[in-house]
Amino acid sequence: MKNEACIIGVGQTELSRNSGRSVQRLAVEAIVAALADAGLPAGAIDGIVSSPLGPTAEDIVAAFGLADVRFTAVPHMGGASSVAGLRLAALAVASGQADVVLTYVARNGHSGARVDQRVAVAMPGQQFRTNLEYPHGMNTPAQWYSLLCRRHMHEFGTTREQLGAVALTMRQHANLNPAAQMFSKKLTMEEYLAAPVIADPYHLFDCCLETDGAAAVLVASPEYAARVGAAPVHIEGAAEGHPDSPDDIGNRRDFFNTGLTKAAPRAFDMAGCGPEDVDFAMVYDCFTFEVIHQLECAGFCKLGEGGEFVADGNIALGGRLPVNPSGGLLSEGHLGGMNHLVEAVRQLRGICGGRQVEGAIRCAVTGWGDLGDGALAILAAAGPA
Amino acid sequence: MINPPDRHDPELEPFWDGTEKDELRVQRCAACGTFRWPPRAACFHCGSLETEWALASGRGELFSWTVVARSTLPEFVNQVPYAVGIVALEGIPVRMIGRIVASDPSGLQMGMPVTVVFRDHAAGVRLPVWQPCGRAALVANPAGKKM
Repeated sequence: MKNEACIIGVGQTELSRNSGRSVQRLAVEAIVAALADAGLPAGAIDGIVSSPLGPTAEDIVAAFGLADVRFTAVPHMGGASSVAGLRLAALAVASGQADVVLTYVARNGHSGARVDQRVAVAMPGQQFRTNLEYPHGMNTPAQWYSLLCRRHMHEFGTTREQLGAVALTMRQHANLNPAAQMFSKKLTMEEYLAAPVIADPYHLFDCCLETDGAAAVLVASPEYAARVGAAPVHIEGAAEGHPDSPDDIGNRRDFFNTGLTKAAPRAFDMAGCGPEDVDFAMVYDCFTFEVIHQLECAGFCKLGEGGEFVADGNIALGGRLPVNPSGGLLSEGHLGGMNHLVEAVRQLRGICGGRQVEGAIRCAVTGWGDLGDGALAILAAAGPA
Repeated sequence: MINPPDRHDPELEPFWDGTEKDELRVQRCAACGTFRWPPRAACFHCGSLETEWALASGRGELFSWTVVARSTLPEFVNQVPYAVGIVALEGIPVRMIGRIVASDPSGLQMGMPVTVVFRDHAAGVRLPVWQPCGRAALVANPAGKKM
């Protein structure tokens, strides 16, 4: 499937704590922006991959009066749905089932249903959550994922300062991104360490933002892109994976093995390259530790060595593997990782100004969701015109 | 919408039947003997649908935990900070998530031995929760006593 599909347009609304608009309107705005970016009319869309939460494909068909959408799909992988959805879009165009597939996320994640109301009830294995976890006071991603973090600290010596290096790097990147929610807010290690506990070892700045906004991405074949004159970003590889027990965190024999561990080799194999060939990465940073964890799972460093990797400056702009030059979910804003696809495309086009990754040709984008579902996409800049 | 636990959930009813008698039960494949948790309809090892339940000792080790400082669950809003974690059961290769009842959650340690105690829940189920097995814990809850 390598290079049989490409991204031809991206769009994103402003990121805020209160959009003042419906999620349907936010979606429409992002989609209009993506269509303008691609130079296409709405009627060109004939495939839609929507998110498990938020406006449905049917909402979009009706909003734009789309005459004949012939492919729709919904990945049910929590936050990994954006990258998993990109792959579904790529499969659709590569197989000729659709010409232009739209994928998007739209949410009022701060002014509307917040994490504690929205995420738990969308998790797989609700019978386990309801009977075995909520009555014990466990109902948020911060609580579930902090269990992984603490065990990793115990087994490998990962420290809070290393988690803090992730938080600070994301904030420094956001300070270069005028669209980021944390653009004008600095963060020091002292502030990071002193911040109030949410679910120990997670404190305030270990946790991603909750955001109102929307982002949209359009996928087509390279032939279609050439025909309509749209500049492509190639999807070299994309894969999804699931942990051994996707509906339960407690009983994994290999506690740090996740869907991304399984998806990454497939995606790299499809792309014909390895982690060493990637110029920068967009990592689903719902929490600081998850950057360390996913860098290990995807093969950018060995299991247990992610803490040192992030603390040595490797993931900052100018480092060996810049991560989330936009500021990430931690400091740009949280649109379920769709904003990471948007940033990846903009970086590969070379238009990111002060936060541009120099010479960016290839990017890896991770997805992480639910109790460890994962996905990886390898994107590459188009060759010389 | 967070629902209350279901005393008559078909997969979990045997578990709740056990906790009602202060017994901690774990599901096991009746064909190949593989233990599994949480309870499911099939054996992940041999694929059999034949199920039985085995009695656990009620002891375990702390495998991981979090100390929750903020909760929006109505029952837990006023209990913060509290610990909830994963316990590796003694003698059975499964782990259970549960409330870790400790007067000082910051004193918990990896691998700490814990023992199950049972507490009534509003929804008519009796919940297994975990206590560190120190001298104080044994004095507060002598073995065999229903809480």
